[in-house]
Amino acid sequence: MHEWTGRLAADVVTPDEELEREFDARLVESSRLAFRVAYSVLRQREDAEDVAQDAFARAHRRFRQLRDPDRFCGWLVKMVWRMALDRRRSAHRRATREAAHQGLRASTAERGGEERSQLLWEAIDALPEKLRSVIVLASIEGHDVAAVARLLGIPEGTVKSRLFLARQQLKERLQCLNTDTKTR
Amino acid sequence: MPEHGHENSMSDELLDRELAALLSVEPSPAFVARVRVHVASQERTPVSWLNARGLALAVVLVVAVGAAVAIRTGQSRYVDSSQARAGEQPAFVIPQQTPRVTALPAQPSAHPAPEVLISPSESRVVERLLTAARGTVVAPDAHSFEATDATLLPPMPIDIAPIRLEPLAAVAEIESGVVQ
Repeated sequence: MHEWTGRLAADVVTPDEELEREFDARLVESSRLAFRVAYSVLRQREDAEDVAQDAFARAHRRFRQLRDPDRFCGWLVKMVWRMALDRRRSAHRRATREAAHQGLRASTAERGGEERSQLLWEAIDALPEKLRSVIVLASIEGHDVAAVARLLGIPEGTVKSRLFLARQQLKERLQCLNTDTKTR
Repeated sequence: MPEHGHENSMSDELLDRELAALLSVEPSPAFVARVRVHVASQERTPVSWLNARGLALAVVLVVAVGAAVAIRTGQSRYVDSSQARAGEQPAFVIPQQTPRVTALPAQPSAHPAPEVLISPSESRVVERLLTAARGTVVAPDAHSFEATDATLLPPMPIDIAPIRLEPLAAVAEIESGVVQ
């Protein structure tokens, strides 16, 4: 009798529990995406994790409206992007203040072994935000045009044109940066 | 032109590979667990707040129900049970209320002067009257003693002479029709 009631209790799932399970599934499948989007803006692992975590906490509070997987991922990407930009701006302001206070500048030695990566990041940072979000999302986990369009909620044609423009500008920028570093 | 296009597409692929490599960063293995803990800790706070609110609401509800029951019981005390018709089941049974014992105020040891509610002159008259009455009336103790003794004595025969009434002269004359 006790076994039967125990099994019955285990089988009964309240709507809240079902919601929690769904959220957990979304968390597992989109945690990497959220982290990488944050990382593409912040370039700091810890900061990126913090931002992604905060975004998931917000998503959890609004999960009843975000149960649709596509809607959830799109909302999450936009939220992470915005929060990461905010964090970077405040971090940048803080770094500028500290640098001005100490009279220091970022050392070029940091570039050392990761020069190419630094150049790429600089080129990405120089892109307008609309182009940047498209190229970053398309580069994460091999998202195709349709997936990027779904995530950003824009037509596929717009994604294609933005991708083309982003690539063009990146290449030009990289060429300029390469020639700059060679002449230095 | 086609060569130029091919060159461009190759460089696009190279760029894409470089970008993909740049963004292929993995979160720490504990990231998902950390998010779960964070979400759970955020969730707990409003729930405990809700619990506190629910508890307060329950207390208010219990007090309200208690007050309503008390008022209802107080009203039902005044319901006369004799009004219940014979053979008809009463709607509810009123429990027998034990007489309420109210605490009496502490009595002073000395007998204070009684409060006089009449004018002093009237009071004096009443006192004089009572004094006079006490002088004539047998003391209650003695009276009760006599009564007790009387109950012990056998009944005595009472000899009462018959009352004879003389007819009035005027009446006799009226009866005889002499009066004009």
